[in-house]
Amino acid sequence: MATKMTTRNIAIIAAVVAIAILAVALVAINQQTPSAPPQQTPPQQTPTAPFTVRGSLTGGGATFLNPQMQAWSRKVYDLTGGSFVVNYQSIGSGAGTRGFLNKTLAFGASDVPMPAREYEGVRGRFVQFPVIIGSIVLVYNIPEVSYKRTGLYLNLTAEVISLIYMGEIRQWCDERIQRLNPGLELPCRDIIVVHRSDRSGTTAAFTLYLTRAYEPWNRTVGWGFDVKWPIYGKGSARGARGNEGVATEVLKTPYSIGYVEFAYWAVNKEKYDEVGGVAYIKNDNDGRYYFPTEENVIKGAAAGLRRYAEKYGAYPSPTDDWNPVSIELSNPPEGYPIMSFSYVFLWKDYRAEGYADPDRVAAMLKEFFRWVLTEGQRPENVVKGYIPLPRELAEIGLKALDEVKP
Amino acid sequence: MLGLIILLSLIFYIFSIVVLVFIKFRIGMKLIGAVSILIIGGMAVVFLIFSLPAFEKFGVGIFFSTEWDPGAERYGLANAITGTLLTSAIAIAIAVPIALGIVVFINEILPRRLAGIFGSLVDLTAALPTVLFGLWGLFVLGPALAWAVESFSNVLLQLGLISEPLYTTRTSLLTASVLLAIMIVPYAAAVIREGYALVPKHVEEAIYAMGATKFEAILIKFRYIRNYLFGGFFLALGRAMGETVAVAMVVGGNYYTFTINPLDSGITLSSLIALQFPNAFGILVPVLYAAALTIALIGIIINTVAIYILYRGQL
Repeated sequence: MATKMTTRNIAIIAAVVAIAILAVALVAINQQTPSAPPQQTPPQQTPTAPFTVRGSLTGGGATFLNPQMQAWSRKVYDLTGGSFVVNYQSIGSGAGTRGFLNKTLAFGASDVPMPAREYEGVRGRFVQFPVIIGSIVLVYNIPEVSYKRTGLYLNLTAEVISLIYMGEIRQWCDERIQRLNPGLELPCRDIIVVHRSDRSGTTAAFTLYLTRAYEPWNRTVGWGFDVKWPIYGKGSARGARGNEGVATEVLKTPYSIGYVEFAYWAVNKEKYDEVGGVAYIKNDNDGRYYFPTEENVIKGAAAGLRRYAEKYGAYPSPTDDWNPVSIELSNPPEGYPIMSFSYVFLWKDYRAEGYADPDRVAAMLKEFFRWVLTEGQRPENVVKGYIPLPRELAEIGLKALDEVKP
Repeated sequence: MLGLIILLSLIFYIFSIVVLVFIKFRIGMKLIGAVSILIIGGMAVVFLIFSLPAFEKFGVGIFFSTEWDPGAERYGLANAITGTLLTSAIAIAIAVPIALGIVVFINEILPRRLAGIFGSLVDLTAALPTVLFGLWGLFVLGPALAWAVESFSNVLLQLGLISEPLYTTRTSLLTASVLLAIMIVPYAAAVIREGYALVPKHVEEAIYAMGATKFEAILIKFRYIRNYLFGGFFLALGRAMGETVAVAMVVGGNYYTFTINPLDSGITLSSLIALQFPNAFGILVPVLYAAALTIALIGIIINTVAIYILYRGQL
């Protein structure tokens, strides 16, 4: 009798648990309950002028954009006293684009423009525009010629970087590197090439630059979130996960070189200076070496945009296919040549796309991104390591917002 | 569609529980068993449906192709399958002897009071988040292994046994294998320890009455609990093949070339999915579902073999 009672009790508990799980699952499916950013609400602030709508919305995409998006979202949350909540899910560019196209996200964000194939499917129904710039730097670990020891950083060109990543240049003391760096005595050690092991916008921007700046790379490798690294089978290469993975791999592995987003070098600058440093990159178009500073990157972005305008007769429109734009922006006529842009995708007509509560969603998105493209680009709102848009690019975004109904 | 399947399974599950509680206990239990089979089968079917475009494009060759060319959108899973089998095999080869050693140490050598504490500590390591193992692998184990390989290579060079130095870095298939071994030891040890404690007192006394040494007694006891050894072995193998996060951090991410040299960087099926999925577009998505299907298939095959061996004659 007693055992029967216990089994029955257990069964009842199991049933209750199952029903509870079902209830939670149903709630979760029906409405993605917005979780407010972890931030105490500041004492009663009235909503400031640009924010007239209340509510919350969810977007998602590129992991690279995440810290900056969280900062913007928190700032807006604070400005409005908590009545304006933008959730950003850092799920990756591909997943963000898919979520946007499946309409599970109010906006998508990506390290690359809408891919051409997907663009054809939704041409004219959506707008895309950049919201922030990143730059990609080459960090290296050569203890003999570290910045701390020599006071000099390495000079590199697109050709030399390509040849290193192709396994054609195998040692640091190779004549082709040494020639660019007359002041440094480079050791005859094998170069260990570090690349991203996950698909990433950083890889896309880096390989796009090499594709644009060095023709043999274009012919044999190409560019994308992931490429078939030609180094395998020829030299020593390692993949590391995420920007932080590559950053630490280079820090810990002598005679290695890797590419990371500017921010990951900037926060560890002292440590890199101990073992190596960050490279000056030669812009082949104007023949000058550039250090990855904010001014040099902005200069590059503006010059790239001007080149696009000269080639196609006008600045790009938010409804255009931006793949040609991103190609023109890479390896610009002047300035630091390796840049990455974070793009945002918005629907033109949220009602026609079948979103719930379309007027509020569209109004919120317009207010939020208008703020992002104006106030959000001020130094105090830009997270360290990100680079604000040049004025011309920000204006394209503002134009895009005008196309979003209502 | 996925949501619908989950919902249907849940409804069926609740129905079975209602049957179990209010109608007939035995029928309810059977229904609940059926639910678990349905869920596993449903998952395999979903993976198959999602991966169909990949099979349409590459055919069955996707399992045998070593090509991984994102630019040309040509993908094969052979490198990842090899990596999975290689790392699991090395991990098992390292982990099983250690697990046996731990079991003997706890049961035969440690005093009873300490044995309980030590046993719980071993069990606790199984509960550590795998990302911790991954970080430890990246910062402690990886460099240590790289140093060990370099020293070993230098010794071999001195002796003239090899002409080229062995080369490795912190991240490689070897690092992944050793890390996996450390991660799966507690699983194997827990199952085997359970069985070891169940050896009846009279059997143990009979063994010693035959004049067996302690070492012989341990061997006989292991033979007595071979089903548990077997269970621990396969549980650990399953864990090793499915582990994702920690492996993705230390495996090196070489999708591009086929390798069976554990000193090279490589890739496993689960880490392939973890690393590639967030930014996957186009045909790559079905390819990754095909990888998921492959893991499921390998798991099913291994478990079928295990069950067959177990039933074929109680071993």
